[in-house]
Amino acid sequence: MSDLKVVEVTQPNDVVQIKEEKIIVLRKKTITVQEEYHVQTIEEPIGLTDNNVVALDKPAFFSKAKPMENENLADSSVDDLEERKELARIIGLTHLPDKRPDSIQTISGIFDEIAGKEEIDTTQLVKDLRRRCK
Amino acid sequence: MNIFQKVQNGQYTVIVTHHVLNEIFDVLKKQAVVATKHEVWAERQTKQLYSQFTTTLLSSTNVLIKDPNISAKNLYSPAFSLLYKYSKGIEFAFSCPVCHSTFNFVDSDTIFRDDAVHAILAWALNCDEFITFDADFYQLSNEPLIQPLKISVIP
Repeated sequence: MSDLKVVEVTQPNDVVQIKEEKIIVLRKKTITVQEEYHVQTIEEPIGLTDNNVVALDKPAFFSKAKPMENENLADSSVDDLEERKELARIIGLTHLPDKRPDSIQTISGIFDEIAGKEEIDTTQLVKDLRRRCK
Repeated sequence: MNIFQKVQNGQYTVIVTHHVLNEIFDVLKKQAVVATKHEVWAERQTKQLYSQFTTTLLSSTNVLIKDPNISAKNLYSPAFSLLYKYSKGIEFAFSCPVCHSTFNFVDSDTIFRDDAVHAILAWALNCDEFITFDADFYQLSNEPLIQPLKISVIP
């Protein structure tokens, strides 16, 4: 008997080569490459239950814009000049009216002319308008 | 002392957003067509009265025309949260709101989209108090989303 000994049994897809009196077995292997993903956790508001609406936490993005956080609107130096000028321009004024302390008192009743003979519930009127879904 | 006297005395600084100004214009438009029943006259009356109102506002002390510097997302998304939470409410009336004839009238009675936007705008402006004639806003008195904004309803 020769000195041949069986080292390995070939599989069906193996490729067998004989080279320089050597038997070479080539076997295919399947390699799985795993990619790494970066997972970002986002906090979302609590979901709603069947009958009761759970108090919603403020969404992560819900915050006041930083410029307003430190702005004290009660401070008389807060400037709304640009907004006033724009509003005056839209309604056709050529210049901003002078400020008068008692001016605000004249707002009440300013629309009486349009109210007509009937007393109008303006709160209800505004509510009716807000409900119009077109 | 009424609210206007308090503003005149400096106890309040009133902040008027463009959302408020727009709503007032809509109210005038509706009332003008009802009053005049004429397209051209209604427009003329609307703009004339709006101009009077705006001029008065511009000449008032302790009144600021201001909008908060927030994105549309930061306005409409929390507004939707309020709408969804406070969606219950119904009112019954026994006459039609248009022709006043006897009619079983039913409508939803709670805050609507413009109400929610008003509340969020006031909160974003760091207002101390939200003053309104509309009792629907009572529902928002303890709403965590707009704390510490105080809701005051004038009867």
